[in-house]
Parts: sequence; C-alpha cells; structure tokens
Amino acid sequence: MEGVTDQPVTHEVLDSTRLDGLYRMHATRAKRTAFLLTGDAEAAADVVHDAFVRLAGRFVDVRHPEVFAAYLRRTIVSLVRTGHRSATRERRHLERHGAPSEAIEVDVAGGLAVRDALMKLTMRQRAAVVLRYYEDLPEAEIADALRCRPGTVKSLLSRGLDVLREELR
Amino acid sequence: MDVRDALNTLAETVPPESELPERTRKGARRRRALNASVTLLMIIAMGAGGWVGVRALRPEQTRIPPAERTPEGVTKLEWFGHTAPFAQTDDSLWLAISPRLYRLADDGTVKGEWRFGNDPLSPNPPPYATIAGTAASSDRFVFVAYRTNSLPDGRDPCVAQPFVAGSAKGCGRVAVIRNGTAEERTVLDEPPTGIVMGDEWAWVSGVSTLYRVTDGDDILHAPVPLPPGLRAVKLLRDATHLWVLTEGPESANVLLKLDARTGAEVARTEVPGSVVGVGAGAVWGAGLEREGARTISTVFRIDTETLRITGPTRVITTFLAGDEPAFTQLGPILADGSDVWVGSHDGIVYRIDADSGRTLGSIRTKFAPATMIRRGGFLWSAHLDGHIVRTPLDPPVTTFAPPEDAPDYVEPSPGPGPSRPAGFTRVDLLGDDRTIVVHFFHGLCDHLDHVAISYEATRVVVRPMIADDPRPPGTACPGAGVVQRSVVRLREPLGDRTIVNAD
Repeated sequence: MEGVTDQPVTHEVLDSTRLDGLYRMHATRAKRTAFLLTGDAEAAADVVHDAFVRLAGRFVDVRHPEVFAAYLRRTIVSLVRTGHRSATRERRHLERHGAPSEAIEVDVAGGLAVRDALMKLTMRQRAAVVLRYYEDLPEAEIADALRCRPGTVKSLLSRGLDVLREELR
Repeated sequence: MDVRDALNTLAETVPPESELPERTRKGARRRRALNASVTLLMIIAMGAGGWVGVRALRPEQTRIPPAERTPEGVTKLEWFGHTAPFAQTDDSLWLAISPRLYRLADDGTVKGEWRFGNDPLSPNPPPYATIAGTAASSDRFVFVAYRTNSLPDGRDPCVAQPFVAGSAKGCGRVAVIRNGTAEERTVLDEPPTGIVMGDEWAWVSGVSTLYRVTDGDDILHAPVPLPPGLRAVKLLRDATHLWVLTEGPESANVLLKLDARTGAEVARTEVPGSVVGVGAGAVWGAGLEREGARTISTVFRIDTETLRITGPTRVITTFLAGDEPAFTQLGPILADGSDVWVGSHDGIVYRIDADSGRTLGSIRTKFAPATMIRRGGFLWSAHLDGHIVRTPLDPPVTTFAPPEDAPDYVEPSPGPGPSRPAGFTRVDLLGDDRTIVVHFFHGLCDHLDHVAISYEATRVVVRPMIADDPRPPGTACPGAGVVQRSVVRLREPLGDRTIVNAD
C-alpha cells in the first residue's frame, strides 16, 4: 500500500543515555577543546579519558543527557587547570618515551604558529580564549567555569588576545 | 587574524573520535566500583554507636517502606515517541508508537511490526504519519487509524492541505491488518482523533464527524456529524456507549455520551479538565487546580448514568520554593473492575479508590507511562522511552513506592560530619497526605545527608541537608550541580498546613 514505507529512521537519540552514546556525541569536541588547552594531542586524549571516567559514575544514567556537555567541559578545564596527570597518563608517557615527549606535530600550515602562540598565554587566559572563541560560551559561563568574576573574564580575554595578536603578527 | 577561525582550524587537526576506548570503559567501571567501596567503608566506619547518636540529634523522620513488588521489564522497543492506547486480542497486545505498530506476545516478544509512514519529527521524507489508535475486532482483524500528509508530487488522493505537525489539518486513513498484511481501507476527509471497536464496525472519530468502517470493504457507512461548534479530541467506549471528548468555544471541554450503535447523542456535560479513561462505572479525567503557591493535580469521576461529577480529588499537591509554575501531569487513567490506576509523568502509577477517589497506594514503573492495560493478572504499561513493563496486581497494592531505579531518586545517607541546608526547589505531597517527594539541588561532590522536618502550627518546614563527599585533599570538583529527589513520609498528616523552606 502507498502509505506504508520501509525507509530508515534515525536512532541516534536512543544511545544518548549510555556511556557509548555520550562518548560518540561529545568526545570529538571535548578532545579538540583539550588539545587547544594543552597543545598536546596525547595529553588531550588522556584528559578526555580521565574526564569521562570521573563523570561516568554520576552521569551515564542521567535523565537529561543535554547537560552532560557542560559538565564534561567544566571537568576538562578543571583537570587542565590543576595540571592533572593521571597515573595512567604518566605510565603511558614513560612506556612510550622514557621521558616527557615533544608534542605531536600539527600537520596544517600555520597550525604550529597558532598552537605555539596559544601556549604563550597563561593557563587562565588560554582557557578564557578557548571557551569564548572555540566553545562560543558567554562570559558569564566562562566566569563560572573558571570560578572568577565576569570582569576578570573580560580582562583575561583582552590580555589573551593582545598576546595572540603580538605572537601571530 | 580571526581568532575563531584560527582555533577551529587548529582544533580540526585532531581526528574525530567515534568509539569509546576500552581503557575508558574499564576506567569507568573501576570508578563506579571505587565509589561503591568508599560508600561501604564510610558506612562501616560510622559504626552503630555513631549511627544512634546521629539519629538522636535529628528530627524524627519516618522512612517509607520498601517497594512491595517489582515491575517486570518485558521489553524495550527500539522506537519510542507518540504512543496510542493499547489494544488487545486473545494472543497479542497491540501498541502503536507513531509511525509504527507493534504486535507483542505475552512474553514481550515482538511478533510483528508495521510502518505507516515516517515519523513527523524525523528528517526523512514524507509521507509522515501519526497513529491515533488501534481497535481489534477479532484475532483476524485489527484496525489502525492514522493521520498522514500528501506526497510532494501531489499524487496522494488523500488531501491537498499541507501537513503541519500538531495541527488539525491533514487527512486520515484507516488500515486493516489481516493475516499479517496491512491494507489501506478507507480515506477520511479529516485527521482521526480516536478509534474504538463497535459491534459490527469500528468507530473512528474525526474532528467533526464519526465514521463507521468495516473490515470487508472501504465504504464509509453513514458518517455521523458531531454537534456543530465542537471539535472531537478523544474517543472512548464502554459496554453501551461511546464517549467523545470535545473542545467547545472558549476551550471548554464538553463530553458527549453517544449511543454505541447509532452514534446518536444521548447526553452531554462540561468537564473540568481532560478525560483520559472510562471504566468502573465512570468516565475519568485529570485536571489541575492552583491555590497560591501550590498546584494540585486532581482526578475527577463522571458517573456514566447520571453524568454527575464527583471530585476533583487530590492525587498530588506541588509546593514550590519560587514563582516558577510546576506541577505533575496525570494520565493515562485505566479503570478496570474496582481498581483505578492513574499514571503520572514522574514515573509512578497511583491506585485510587473508584468511589472516593482517595489514593490507596502506588507502584513505580519506568519513566512516564503513556498507556496502560490490564492483561493476565498484570498491569501492563508502555512508557515514553520505549520500555514496556508489567506489574502483578495480586495482592492489591497498598503502599507508596518510590521509583527505586530512577537515577535521580536518592536515599539519604546520614553521616557523622557536618551538613548544611540546601533548600528544596519543589515538594510533591501525595494523596495520602503524608508521603512527600522532595526535589533539591546539590553539587557534584556532595550528597543528601538527611531531610530535616520541623512541624509547626500552620506550616511544615522541609530542609534537605547536604554533606560533602569524602575525597582526597586537592581533588578538583566541577562547579556544577544536579537536581535529585528523595521520598520521605511525614510523621503526621499535613492537613491544612503548607510546606515551606527554612526562612
């Protein structure tokens, strides 16, 4: 009959309350944010791993998976800000390199310069710039994530952008 | 230099992630085990003496008894969404979740699945379909009434109107399922709002007309126009009559009682809410009342003979901490024999007395029930997340049970350390006037220690008390929070008092 079809339907939302689904939905963006904050792809992968492990016990079964992204972002910023290095990450570094490694080279023209310029910023300036211009967060949410006043965010952004412009001139 | 472009370009050098790495999966598992171990150690360390001491310092609080029975998960369908009421035949349950229809065996096995178009919310192309209902005439015939739109090239003879999700526009179809095959029988001029089985044909309500549809041909037998000015929104039936809920001018709801054979109007009455079920000698509805800072979710009963309205009686009263309105939506209602079951959108099904409307007990289900039916000594419920569960009904349910497996329901875990009041965001008082569900907000690194309750002459003060989780010094804690709920039984009925946060 004409009204009956066998066309496929989307099921993405069905997975969103499980860890696998949450990972598929959020890991790529989380890893890229962590990369911008650390300048190191491997460190970014470790931070994302640790963030998912931390949040897994509390949030895998949460009824509103849309809030997970915000929690994940806060955890990543917090882990990077406190210089977190998990035992796993330390061990893997030592196994692979015997000593702290050079960052993975960025394979895009100009990418190295941008990354190096970002690394010239203080951690708080870098977090403010990345959350504002990569995550597109409003200043109030950045202040919340960095646990500072909105005025401080303005100042961090202003000084951070000055440094970036100077480095990339 | 555009900073946004530069950051995006740099970020995209990191390849996309698709699958959860095994080490993260294992890490998450270990983390959960660690959390459980820490909790266990805390409980042991607290010791019996400490426990008694702590309890003695706190206001008396009667905990509710554990759930007296556990609903049995039957199946989890891969699809969920707009769900039509259950229908049943001797060997099967029929459940329509638009645009699909499932045939289920008593063990939950899916014995058949049909699709009547694409989901209106999907990005897939037309035709879209919303199923209004199903009616089983026998084990050989099942009718399905659904709304659909025209195809883009206009070939569809159904209607020329554009499809608008949620509007009354569109056209209707009735299909019959015979020997496992769906055949379209009838095209209606308006979208169907309900379907029930009559003695010799299925009655289908449109917006302004009742249609008779047989399984033998596609002829519409003498459509019955509904009274002008009223728009039908729901069709129910009992042994002798059809019941059509309509919306009249100025949104007043009018219930029409019609002869089940001819469709002729027998009587009508205005109703104070939405009608959601018929049975136990009454038509049942759910409504809302507002009294200052509280919202009361009610049920009312309309006697099928006299049309006299009894009630509304209170099922849930919501007390709010702020001005933002909130309430608990009730429905569906299943009235079968002497039992009346009222579903609520917070995942609890209440058993109420058919005569007085008083709440007798409750069972937890999974998520919000969308439709319920009684079959084989069980209450079956289909839920908005695709779960289907069944709960044994013998012996009768007489206690109030929280939904234990709902992740946002928590038990207090009193400890010896300091705790601080968090304030509630809302409190739901159940129909027994003593069981309360406290909604509160807390951080990611703390938990509910206990709920402190003070009884005063005109009010009862409810304070969720929060304590820090044990964690190593220097551990980072995200500055976010979650809303959770806890169920507590008051020492005495609330009566005329109000429930408030601490000053």
